[in-house]
Amino acid sequence: MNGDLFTLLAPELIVIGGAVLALLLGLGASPGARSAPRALALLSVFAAFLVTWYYGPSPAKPLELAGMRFDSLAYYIRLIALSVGALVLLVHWHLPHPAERGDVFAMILFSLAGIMLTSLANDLVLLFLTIELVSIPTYILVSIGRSDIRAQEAGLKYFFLGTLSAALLVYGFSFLYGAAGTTNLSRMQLSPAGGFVTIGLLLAFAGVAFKIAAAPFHVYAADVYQGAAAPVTGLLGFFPKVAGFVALIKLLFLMQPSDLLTAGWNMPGAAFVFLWVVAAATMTLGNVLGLMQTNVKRMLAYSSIAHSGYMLVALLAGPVASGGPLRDGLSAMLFYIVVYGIMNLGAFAVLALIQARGRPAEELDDLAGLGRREPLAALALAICVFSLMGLPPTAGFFAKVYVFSAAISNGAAGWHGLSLIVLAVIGLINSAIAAGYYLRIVATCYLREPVAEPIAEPRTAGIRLGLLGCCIAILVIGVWPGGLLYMSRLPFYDLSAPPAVATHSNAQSPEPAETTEQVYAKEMNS
Amino acid sequence: MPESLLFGFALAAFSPLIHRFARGATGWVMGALVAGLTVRFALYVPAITAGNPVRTCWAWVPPLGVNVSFYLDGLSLLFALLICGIGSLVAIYAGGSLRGHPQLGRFYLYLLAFMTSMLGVVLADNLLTLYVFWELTSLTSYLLIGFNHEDSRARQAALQALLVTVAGGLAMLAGFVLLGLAGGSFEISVLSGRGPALREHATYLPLLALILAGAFTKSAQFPFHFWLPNAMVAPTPVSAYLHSSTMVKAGVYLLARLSPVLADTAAWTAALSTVGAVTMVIGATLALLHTDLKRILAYTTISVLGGLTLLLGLGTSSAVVAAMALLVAHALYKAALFLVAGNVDHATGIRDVRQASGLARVMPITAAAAVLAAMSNAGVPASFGFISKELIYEAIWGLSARGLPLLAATFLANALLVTTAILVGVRPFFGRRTAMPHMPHETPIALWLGPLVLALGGLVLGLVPARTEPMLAAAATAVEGQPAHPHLALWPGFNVVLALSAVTVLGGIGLYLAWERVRRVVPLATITRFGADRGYDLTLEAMLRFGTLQTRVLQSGYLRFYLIIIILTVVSLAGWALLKGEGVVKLLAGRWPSIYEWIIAGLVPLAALLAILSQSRLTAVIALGTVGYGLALLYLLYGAPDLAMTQFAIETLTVVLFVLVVYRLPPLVRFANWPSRVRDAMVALAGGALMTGLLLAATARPGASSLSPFYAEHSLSDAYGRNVVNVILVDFRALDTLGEITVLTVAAIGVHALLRLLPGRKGPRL
Repeated sequence: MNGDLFTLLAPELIVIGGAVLALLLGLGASPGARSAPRALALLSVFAAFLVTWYYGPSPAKPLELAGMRFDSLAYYIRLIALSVGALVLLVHWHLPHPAERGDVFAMILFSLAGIMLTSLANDLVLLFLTIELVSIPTYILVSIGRSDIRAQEAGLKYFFLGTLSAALLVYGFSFLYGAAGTTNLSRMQLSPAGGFVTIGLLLAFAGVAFKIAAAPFHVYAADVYQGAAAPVTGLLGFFPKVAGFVALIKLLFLMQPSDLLTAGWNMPGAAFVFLWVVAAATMTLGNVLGLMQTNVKRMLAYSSIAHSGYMLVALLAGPVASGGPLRDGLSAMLFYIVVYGIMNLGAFAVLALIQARGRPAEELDDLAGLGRREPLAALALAICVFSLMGLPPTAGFFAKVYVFSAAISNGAAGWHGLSLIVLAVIGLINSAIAAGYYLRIVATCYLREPVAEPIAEPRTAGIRLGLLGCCIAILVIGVWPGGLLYMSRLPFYDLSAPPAVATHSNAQSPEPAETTEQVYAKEMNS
Repeated sequence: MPESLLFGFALAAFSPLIHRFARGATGWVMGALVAGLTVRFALYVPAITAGNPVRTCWAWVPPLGVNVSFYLDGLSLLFALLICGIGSLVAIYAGGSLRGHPQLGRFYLYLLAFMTSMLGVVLADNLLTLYVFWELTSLTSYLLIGFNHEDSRARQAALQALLVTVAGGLAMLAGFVLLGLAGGSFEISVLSGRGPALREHATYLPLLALILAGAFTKSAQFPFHFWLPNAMVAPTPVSAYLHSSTMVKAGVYLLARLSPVLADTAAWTAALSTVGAVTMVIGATLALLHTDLKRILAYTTISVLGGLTLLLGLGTSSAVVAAMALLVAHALYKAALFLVAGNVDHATGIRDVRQASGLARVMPITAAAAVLAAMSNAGVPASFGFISKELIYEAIWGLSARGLPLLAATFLANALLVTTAILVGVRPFFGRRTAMPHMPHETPIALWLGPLVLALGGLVLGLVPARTEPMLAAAATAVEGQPAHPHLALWPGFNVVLALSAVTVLGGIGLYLAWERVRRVVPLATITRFGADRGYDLTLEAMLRFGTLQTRVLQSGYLRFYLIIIILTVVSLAGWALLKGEGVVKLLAGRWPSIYEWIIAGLVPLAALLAILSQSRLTAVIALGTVGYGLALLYLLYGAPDLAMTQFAIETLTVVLFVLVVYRLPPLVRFANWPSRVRDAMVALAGGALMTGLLLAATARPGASSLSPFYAEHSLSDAYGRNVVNVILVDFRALDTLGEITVLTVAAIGVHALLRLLPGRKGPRL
């Protein structure tokens, strides 16, 4: 990972370049030019993935340059965003009207580039801008090409509330800037005791809570998810969430002392209480409201809210990792978000597949007898839903075990540790409640008689490929979670190393830097 | 041993295919294959009874030290033999009882997947591995209970069983995690060696409570017992297999397996013996009040599970041996009785115990099996049930005075079990024949083979009890953690325990004679109204109510309510932080504004008010523009001329855009009524108050910024310009300016497009 900014940012530049080209090609008159954007989009995501992979995780001392920090967190987020992004593209393959293909695929790529840049942002201003770069294309995606009134309403609601949340976010940032006197995240040393820090954090958390659909900022989610096309909804469950959680991590890191790995999070009591209440309320509201639904998309929307709650639990548990297995909440969250993104996308991909075949897939009744009608689609849906439930041997199982075990085993002194255990218990109860509606989906597919026969067989190869990718990922991660787990633990090894601040050239530290793998290997041996 | 799991899962996966070829003979094929598996486990018996457990282990998630590991000792082997042995008989039985069912292939898929998962539970050495298989048994049980999915009762019962066991399973998982952390390992065989330290550990009580929640829900202990009778809507082979002999024993297995780790504390003994004794008595009592054959059997199963829990709670050497013997005896006779009940149902269409009688003449083989199994159930000499009952009484008698209440409970439960044994195993087959829905007939061999073999098994083991000693010893050794030397005899000689047994049987017979009267006296409906089943319903109902309330309050679908929720949340959060951090007095003691600021501060709210109150859109838009201009003026006052310039341009453009859009909108309609307008005004005022407070707090602080002096100093030296504003715009913030120009251009293109859209007008071409 040598060289100047352009080399370092090559993955993002490739994705943005692909987006611009897709946008332009989409304007073309010939059918050939109009179908090019999707292949181009997939190609650029693939190329960006290869480049990121080739660069590898950061050295033990991450490079800081131009308001960005090239650390292992960024490496991990870039990789997972690109992998899930490729699946998202596949699921969108047949959705848009040819005239809108350019727009849709460009927007997905812009949003994707936003996530990657969010993971790099090391400056409050850049962090805000990148989060908005993730969000704004999603506002467009929700209502694009959908003439029915619900989609329009969803897009408008999403936009208005999103704007409000962006205002809260940037307002909170301005207080953090006021408290620290700098916007550079590495140089910000915030004391949790400061009044401005608490105000700034609470406002920023509120803004982020909207992005991750956490209570009470979750109210829009069900309406928007229901109104948007199924593939877009699958995207909404991942893109804004990743950006929001990355921002949360970065904000929480502003107040951390050097002994983070053993002492756990250091944050204002008010912020802890806020996140705790938000996590508990998010899980409970999401699942209880999920129980009420007869509309599958709304059901999954509430499940999406609930899953944000689980991830908040892991985040609150923090990166305490020594003294026992399955303790690192930060890596649990990073692990969970990928798994969630894939299983959620897979579930919506099934809905998209059914819709692409000319049948409605909105209400639970529309899925009746899917097991008989389309056995493979039903199996895929069952895999995704079982994973959402957290049943073995799917990826969701291990993700859930990891999250709750991190919270249970946090062991922080006093009320912190105890409240985390209570939170984990609330989460476990919620998992049981959630089983109620997840099972209804599977039961409807398998235990009820089909209403009608499938109508058409249009081309759905792209969706099916994307769905296959989701299912394989769920099962492979479920059976061999080690690989992804190793990756998700990379960022946490960065914590032990202070950043190497490079101004305008790539300053190499004089002593040979210890690679992350070496640090990792050391820990494993000890 | 792991290969037997692979074999089981492969068999399950291929069973629809096998069914396609084997057709009518599927049951026999499956039975033979599972019997092969039984033989495979039987071959382990010499090694295990000699005290050589087998362990295999693979790393699953190496970074976290999570393994997949299996362990075969006396306890797991005993369970494995029961699971496979009864499994093969049930597979044969299902082939007969579900003959011609269109989904038979799928049934075998579920059944064998269940069997393998159950094997996984008893073979697992790693806690997480165990949990995985544990949940798989819940899931396959769900599929099997709901197999007749046209029946809505079946679907409900399946869901109830799943919810209860999954909820318990999750609690158990939390307990496992705590246990793994406290013991430093997830391997049960490692933890077994660390029992004393773990029992002293600070988290012992919570982890014990969580694990017990899992075991009690799975094994249908009071107050979680209600799902088991409801699960009787499942096909008979499922009830016989899952809900009497195997799955419900998983909780008991877990208690036995973790005995070396967790047992012998006051909490353990108290919790297990209390819950066990209560369950034992309640199960047996409720059994007496029902008339449905399968429900009676389900309640007696609950009673026996309670007895097993009680015995494991006592934890003495003789109690553990008695538990192992009861486990075997019960698995044999209860599975047989369930299959017999299924045969009666199959042959006559009757499930009510009051209606069936005199069937022995037409169904001699079934009747023989029923009587043999009932003997074992009642604990009549020469049956294995008799021997296990002797052992139980011996174990509890040995407790001296402390055990008196337990002795009374055991006596009562056993007497009631005798009554039910007569009700189910004897009554339908003797007496006068009555009219029945079908013409009764003896069932085909596939249907009578299973019960007969199981019942004969109880008889044979009862006749040569000494032959079971090595196996029971191995199992008890695994539970106790130290070598056990049980002694089982066909005839114990005349002693107190035998007298107790005799009185039990006599009492049971007496109760049977008074059965009709007892049933009339005790009102079943009243009991069920206050039962745990009702509690489950109420919980679900409450959850749905809560959800409805949430929907009404939070999910109205109106954007304005969503905005109100968000604004109020933020106001209360940040307002609280503000007041706590700064205080009201400090806020008001800020700097006194200048005259210009006063003018702007007057202008902006007035314009905003006008925007709200105006009846025409155009006025509102222009008023909004005035608000924006006021803000731009403020920027100017605070030394940000570049920002002010941009703001002016943006505001102008926005007004132009607005006007163009407004032109196309229908006339303004007032939607809101007075109360809601007042509410909105309150919310707006709250938001405004917060912003004012935050602003005051921010301005009261000495500015940390060094931006303005920086520009003034470096304007000439770095950028060679004397006009600081110009230098900022074109040099320091050149990229910003470029961006702003782009934005303005894009907006202008938008204006152009809108102009072209105006009706009746053709704009100039670009």
